[in-house]
Amino acid sequence: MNSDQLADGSVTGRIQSDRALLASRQIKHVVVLGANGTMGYGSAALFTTAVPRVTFLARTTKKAQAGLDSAIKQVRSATVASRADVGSYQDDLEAALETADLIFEAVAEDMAIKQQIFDLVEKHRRPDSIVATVSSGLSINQLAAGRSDSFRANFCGLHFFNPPNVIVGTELVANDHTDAEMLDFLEVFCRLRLGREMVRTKDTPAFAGNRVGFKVLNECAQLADQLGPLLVDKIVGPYTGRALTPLATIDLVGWDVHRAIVDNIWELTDDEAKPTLKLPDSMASLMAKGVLGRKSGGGFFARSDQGNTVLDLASGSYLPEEEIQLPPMPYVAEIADLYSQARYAEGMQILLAAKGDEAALARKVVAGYISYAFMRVGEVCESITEIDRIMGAGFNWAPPSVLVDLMGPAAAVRMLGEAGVAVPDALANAGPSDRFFQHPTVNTGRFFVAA
Amino acid sequence: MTQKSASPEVFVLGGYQTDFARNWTKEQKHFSALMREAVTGAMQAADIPAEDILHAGPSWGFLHRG
Repeated sequence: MNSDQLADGSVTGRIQSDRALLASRQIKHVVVLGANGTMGYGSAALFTTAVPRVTFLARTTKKAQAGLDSAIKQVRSATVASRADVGSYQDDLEAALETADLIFEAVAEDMAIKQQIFDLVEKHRRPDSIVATVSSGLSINQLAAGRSDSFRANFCGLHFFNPPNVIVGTELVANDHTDAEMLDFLEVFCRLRLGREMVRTKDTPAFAGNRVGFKVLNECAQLADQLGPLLVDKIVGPYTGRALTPLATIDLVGWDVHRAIVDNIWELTDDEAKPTLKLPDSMASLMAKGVLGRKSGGGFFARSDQGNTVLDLASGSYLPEEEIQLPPMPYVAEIADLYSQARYAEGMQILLAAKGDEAALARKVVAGYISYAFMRVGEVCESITEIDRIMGAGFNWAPPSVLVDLMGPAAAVRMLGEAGVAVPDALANAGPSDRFFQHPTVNTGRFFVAA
Repeated sequence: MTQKSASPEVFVLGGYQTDFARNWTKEQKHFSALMREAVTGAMQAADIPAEDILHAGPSWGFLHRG
C-alpha cells in the first residue's frame, strides 16, 4: 500500500498504518558499499541519523576511512563517527553482510561494476536483508536480473539526490519482483526516520526527477552555444521558479555527471523532446580538455582573482562577467519585485505578457518543462503529483503544476501552443478553476526567489 | 481562524502555516510576503474568497491591546 493510499483515508489510519509498517522490520545495521564516493558517504552520513550502526565499505579501508572523514565534514556532526565503522570488501564485507539489515550499494554507475559487487552481496547476505541501489539511471530490473528470488524480492532503487543531508527528495523504484510489503516498509522508514520526501517512480531511464530536470538543463546548455552562458542563466533565472540557475546547476552537478545522465536518456528513450536531450558538441569538446564544472575549477562559470568569469564556448577561454553585454530585460526586475511581496501569480502574468526575444525564450523553456513533465505521466510515475513532488523536493524547482496553477490552465495551454511543444490532454481538457498541485503542506512561495 | 460577531457566532475553519525552515532573507522577500502568504493561505484553506471579507483588522494591534 502506498503511503498516500490509506486504508480508511484518515490521519489516524495513516498513523496506524505507518506504525504497523515500521514494526514489521528492523534496521539496526546498514552497510554502505562504495562509501568513499560522494553519494556513498553522503548517504551513509544520512543513515547514521537513524541507525545505530553504519558500516562504510570501500576497496580499501583507507578509502572507507576517507569516506567517513568526508561524511563528518559534510554534515558537521560527531554523531556520524560514533555510529560508524569502516572496512574493505576483501577483509570485512562477509562479516558485515551477515548482520546487515540494509545493504546500500553506491559504487560506480557502471552495470558491470555493480554486478560484481552484487555477486558478493548475493553470496553473503541474509535472505531477509534489504538491498538498495542509489543508481540514478541504470535499470533496476536489469540489475536484479539473474539474482535469487530473495534478492529480487528485497531489491529496489533508493535514489537520494546530492547532497542527501540537504536534498530530501528521494525516488523509490521497484523491480518486477520486489516484495510490496518490503517496499512499503522502506518508504515509511525513509519518510519517518530519515525525513525523506518519498516518490515512487517506474523503472524508466533516469526515473522521474532526472528525466524531467536534465531535459531542461540540457536544453539550456544547447542555448548557451548560441547565446552564451551568462545570458541563458539570466533568461532562465530564479524568476522562472528555481533558486539555482540551470547552467550553474550543471557546473555544480559536474559536466561528466550531466553527460552520463543525458546520454543515458538520449540512448534509451524516444519521446517528443528528444532533440533537447542531445549533449552539445561544445560541451563534449571542452570535457575532453578537462572542463568538468566546479570540481575542475570552472565550467560555464569560474571565479578568478579578477572576479566572476564566463566561459566562451567557442574558444574555451573565460571572459570577465562585467565585460559581457546583456540585452535589457526590464520584466525580470518587475517580476522579482512582485515575488518579494509574495505576489507570485501577478509575477507569472508579467512573464506571460513580456515582449522581446528573451521573454519568448524564457516562456519556451518553461513551457517545455511543463509539457515534458505532464507528458511523462503514466510513463515515469502514476500521476503528475509524484513528478511535482520530486521536482520540488529533489531539484528545488517550482513544480510544473504550481506554474500551471499560477498561470491558469488556459494561459498555460496558450503558452505551450506558442512555444510549439506538446499540449498534454490533462491541460487541454482542464476547466478554468481546475488546480493541479496537490500537496497541502508545501509552501509553494519558497520556489520563487525574488532575484 | 475564528471570527466572533454579535449574533450569531460564526466560526471559520481553516488555517495555514508558513514553513519554519524557510529563509525569507535568502528568498529576498519582504516581511509583507510572509503576511501575504499566511493570510492568503488561510483564506484558501477556509475557502473564503477575498471579496467576501468586509473588514480586516490590525491583528497585531488588537493582540497588544489585549
